[in-house]
Amino acid sequence: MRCKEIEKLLPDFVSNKLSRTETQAVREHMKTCARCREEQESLRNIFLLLDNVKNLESASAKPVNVLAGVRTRINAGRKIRTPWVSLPRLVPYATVSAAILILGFFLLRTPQPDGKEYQIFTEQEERMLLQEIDTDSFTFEELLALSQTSFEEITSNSLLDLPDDAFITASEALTPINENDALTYALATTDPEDVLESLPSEVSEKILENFEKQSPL
Amino acid sequence: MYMAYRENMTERTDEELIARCKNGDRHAFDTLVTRYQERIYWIIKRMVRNHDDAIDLTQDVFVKAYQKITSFREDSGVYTWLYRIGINMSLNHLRKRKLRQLLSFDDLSMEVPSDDQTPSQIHEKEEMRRLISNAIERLPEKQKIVFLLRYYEELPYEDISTILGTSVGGLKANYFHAAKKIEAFVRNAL
Repeated sequence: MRCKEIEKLLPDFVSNKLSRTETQAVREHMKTCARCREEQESLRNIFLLLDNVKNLESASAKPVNVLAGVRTRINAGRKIRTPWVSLPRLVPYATVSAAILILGFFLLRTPQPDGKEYQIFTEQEERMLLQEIDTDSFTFEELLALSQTSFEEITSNSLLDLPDDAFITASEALTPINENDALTYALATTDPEDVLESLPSEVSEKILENFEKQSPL
Repeated sequence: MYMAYRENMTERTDEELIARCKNGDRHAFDTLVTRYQERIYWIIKRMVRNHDDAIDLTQDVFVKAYQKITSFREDSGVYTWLYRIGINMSLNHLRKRKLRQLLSFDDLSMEVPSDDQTPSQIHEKEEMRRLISNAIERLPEKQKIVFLLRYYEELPYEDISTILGTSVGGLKANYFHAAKKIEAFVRNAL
């Protein structure tokens, strides 16, 4: 076997989890390969440490019992919030959050005080995001219009049909101190879970990746 | 009579319990919870690194399993199914936490497990535990999951392959690279 194949066996070799044949193959290889012998040595040391720590954890671990909690939740009919199960309930929130998000990235695209122009999404991601939101209640054109309008207008035009609790949440998120602080305020007061949960995972993952790479926050 | 029934339940195989669950037997489901709660809790705990969140998510895993049990097709073992639910929930939880952290300036990088009641005698060991925990935390997502499932849960590669939908060869490579990165992290930190 070549080094590439041997190295994949090394963690299990040092943990004594290989079959007899594999163990023999690794031993044979190491007789003539100093690099793999060295690799094996350093892995053996780290697995010794890992084993020690694992034993320490096991010794101090408290028993886990979630049965009562599970029963209570099942009896209470508690719903697990998964994107597709809870989507209908989230639509009003998601729509408002999406509007904020859209507004956010248009604001970020305008030159900031430091002269830079931040772009959170690629064009393709924008399209994906906009298409997803489109299925909720806004059309692409409406969202574009929303992104170019004022917060007061969004509030008056878009939120009045929401249920009371959603209206309050959305209103709080959308009441800006002034336009320059709008993005920070909106991001800080919007529950990102609603945004994320309303989107397919591939879109939310991309959003997250881009936030990490390019967020000016 | 009732106790005898409960005791009898613990001797049932997973397949028997699942069949009973599908017929609405809550005690059979309780037995599954009792049988797998520790394993599910620990994989989640190692991923989210917070006891309370791990307990909450573990409960969510079983509630979700209960809700979906009738659609469980038994192509794989029940524990691989539970692991998959647990891992997906943990990843979602971590992503939300990360986004919340980005948006609200929370600093979770210094978060330590909440169960640290370290007596001074084992301070060094506790430090080592944190070091290992930090090393694992820094692994790429896929390598981290493979490492947790293989090293801590001691799952066969075939089961991990079922859970993650990755070839056994790929998993072995992931496991090796994860171990190498942990080794390098620890070496640099000491």
